[in-house]
Amino acid sequence: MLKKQFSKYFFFLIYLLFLFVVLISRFYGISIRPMHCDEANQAYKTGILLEKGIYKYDPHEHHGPLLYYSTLPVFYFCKVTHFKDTTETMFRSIPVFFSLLLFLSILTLKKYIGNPAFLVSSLLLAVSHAFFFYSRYYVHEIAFVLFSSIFIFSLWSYINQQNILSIIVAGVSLSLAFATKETTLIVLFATSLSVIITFFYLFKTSQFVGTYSILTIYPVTLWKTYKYISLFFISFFIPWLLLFSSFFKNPQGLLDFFRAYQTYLFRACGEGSSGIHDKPWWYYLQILTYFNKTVGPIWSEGFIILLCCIGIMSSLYLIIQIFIQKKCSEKERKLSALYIFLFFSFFITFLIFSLIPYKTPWNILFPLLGMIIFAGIGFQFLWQKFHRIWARIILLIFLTVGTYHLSNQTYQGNFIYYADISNPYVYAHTSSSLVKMIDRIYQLSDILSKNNKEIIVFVIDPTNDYWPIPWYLRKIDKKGFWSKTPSDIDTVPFWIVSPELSHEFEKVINGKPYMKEVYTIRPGVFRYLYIEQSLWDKFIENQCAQKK
Amino acid sequence: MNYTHKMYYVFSLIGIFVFCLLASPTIFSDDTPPAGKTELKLELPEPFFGGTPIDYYSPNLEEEDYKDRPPYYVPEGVTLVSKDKPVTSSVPPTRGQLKQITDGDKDYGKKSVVELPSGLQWVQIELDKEYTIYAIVVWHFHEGKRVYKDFIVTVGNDPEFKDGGKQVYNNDYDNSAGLGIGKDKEFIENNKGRLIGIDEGVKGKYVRLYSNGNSYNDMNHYIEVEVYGK
Repeated sequence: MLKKQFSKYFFFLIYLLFLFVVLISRFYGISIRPMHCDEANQAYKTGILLEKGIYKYDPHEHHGPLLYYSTLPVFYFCKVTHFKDTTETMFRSIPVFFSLLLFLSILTLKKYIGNPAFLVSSLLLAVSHAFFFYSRYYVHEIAFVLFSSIFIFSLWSYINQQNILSIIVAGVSLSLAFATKETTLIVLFATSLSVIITFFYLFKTSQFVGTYSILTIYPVTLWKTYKYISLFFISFFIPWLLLFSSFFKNPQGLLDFFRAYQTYLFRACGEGSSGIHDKPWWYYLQILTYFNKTVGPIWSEGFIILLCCIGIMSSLYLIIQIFIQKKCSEKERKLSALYIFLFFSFFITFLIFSLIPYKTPWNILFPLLGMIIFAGIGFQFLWQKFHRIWARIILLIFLTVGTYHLSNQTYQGNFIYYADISNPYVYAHTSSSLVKMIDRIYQLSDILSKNNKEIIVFVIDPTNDYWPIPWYLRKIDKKGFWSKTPSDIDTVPFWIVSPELSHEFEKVINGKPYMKEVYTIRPGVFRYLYIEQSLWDKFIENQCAQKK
Repeated sequence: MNYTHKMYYVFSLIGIFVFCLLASPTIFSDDTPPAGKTELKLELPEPFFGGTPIDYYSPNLEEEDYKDRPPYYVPEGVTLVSKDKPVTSSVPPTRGQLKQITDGDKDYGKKSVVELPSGLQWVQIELDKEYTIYAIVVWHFHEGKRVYKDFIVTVGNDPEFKDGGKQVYNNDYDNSAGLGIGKDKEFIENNKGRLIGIDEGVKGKYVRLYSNGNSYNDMNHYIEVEVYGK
């Protein structure tokens, strides 16, 4: 008894250590990757919430309110009250925090799927390139995966035990998932289908364990069902009401929650500007299995896919065995029902995501979590099948090699190719060249400040394609964003001009000397930086002096 | 001689004059190398046909030249001295092996590329002894059009270049690499490589080449480097 308790504590100690390593690794070099347009845009909106306390749910863009509100505690903790004082680390610490909670959510599955499956799933989640990459990315995806998975796991817990806590957690997590991303509707649809299939399976197999009720341990009563359904809706409703109404400051947000689905339905079909994100149905499979562009490495999370296939096959094997033998233990029946429930919840979502023309690489995370869980189940199947020491040593070597391969890719993707187009998860990403342009402006601003001159930056683009420049210019008070060249150019030392407007701009400056440099803001998207010539000459003078 | 005949002779003479004028560079050009010198013969790899036109501008960018490179003459006895010589770098390559930089394979294919991570990085060739170097030819990644930034080449006898060495090429127009402002041009990569001619020759055992990303991404690439000396 004492030995069992000791091993339990030891296990949790090791697990805590593992989580600590995960946390440190996810924070390491968190700010080296330039801010993506979406990250910058969301940071800007959070900045408005921080400074003015204003947030209004937009049914057309930017997804739900949760990400913005959940970032506020970081600012309180760091004692930051102005947007200009915020940093990449502050914003990105939120997805890191959510990614850590994701590990804990899998912990709730441990008692159902078994220790080896849980441990391998946790390990693969820690080293998966996609998960590592987007755990440090200020977009909604990790929070969406977290709350959607908590919803699924707590729903399973409810099916099993019918306790109040499970149903409350399911309601709250579904509400938070909706407050994160509208695509939760797809997860809800997939999970509902999955529940129906799982109940059908439980009904079909109830005779095999000698009982005619669907759930043998906790029989369903009508009164209890009503009570739980009411609890589920109440726990869903409260966070939904608070978040979408911006804590009662914007009741319109509650209506906009429903209106948003009109927008996202069009977007999913590839209407409007979202057409540029249309991709073939096999896009997600491609980035997970084999991706090689330009000079970069060959990217693949094939090890997870391989183990996942073994996991699915082993689940199928168990179910077929039950139907052939027409006999099974209650434990086997529940385990096979869990496999069915998880499989349909995650893979119907994957199927829908693949069939929708609108695709972005971060959408793969939720189905990938399902694959990781099945990979754990697959490894557990092999572990239980092969008892001999040498066979288990081979299995451990196999796991080590696979983990090394994934870790190496994660390292390369996050610390070398973090903004490189060859990385499958770098999508329309801000190029490091833009950071160099901003550095140049700040370098030259020092010279202006020393000479008591105003720092003014004007950005001109005919299509208002400015992001993520507003984020990078947050420390500069005087800046303007224009779709046409303004006529008053006398006092502006810095101009960021899109190539389409450079001829018009050069006509307006009418021969006034400017140094012109080119920078890439995203692959294939260029911006000219015009710097007042006298300022540039001073800068070069300083640079020459530095060399001497 | 009637008017028609006169006009015939006048236009004939003008025609001959114009022809001579146009042909004069060919007629009077001297293909023979200067005394004691010989033409540097280079084996060029296949050019890459494809990709998209480069949409890059720099105040320091050289206009693209599609013509053959004019012959470059080096003193007699100058040979390729860098073939299969050891190569070191500022950081380990993220793709390929450093020895590929001097292995003679100049193909644009991915298998021939050595990639170094982002930021200012260098590769260094160690010759077997001190040579007087007259030409260095560099092929960065030439599958598609790219411009490599802060491209600086130095020659010296100190493996750590503590004395800075002798710069034979520098296109860092704003001293962002911190090695001084260079007056040389940025250029678009192609199969011809970049020939850095050193007419008066420079003595050294080590050749170090810097770069700081390229117009396509932040990585640094090398296909081949050839050092000619005696």
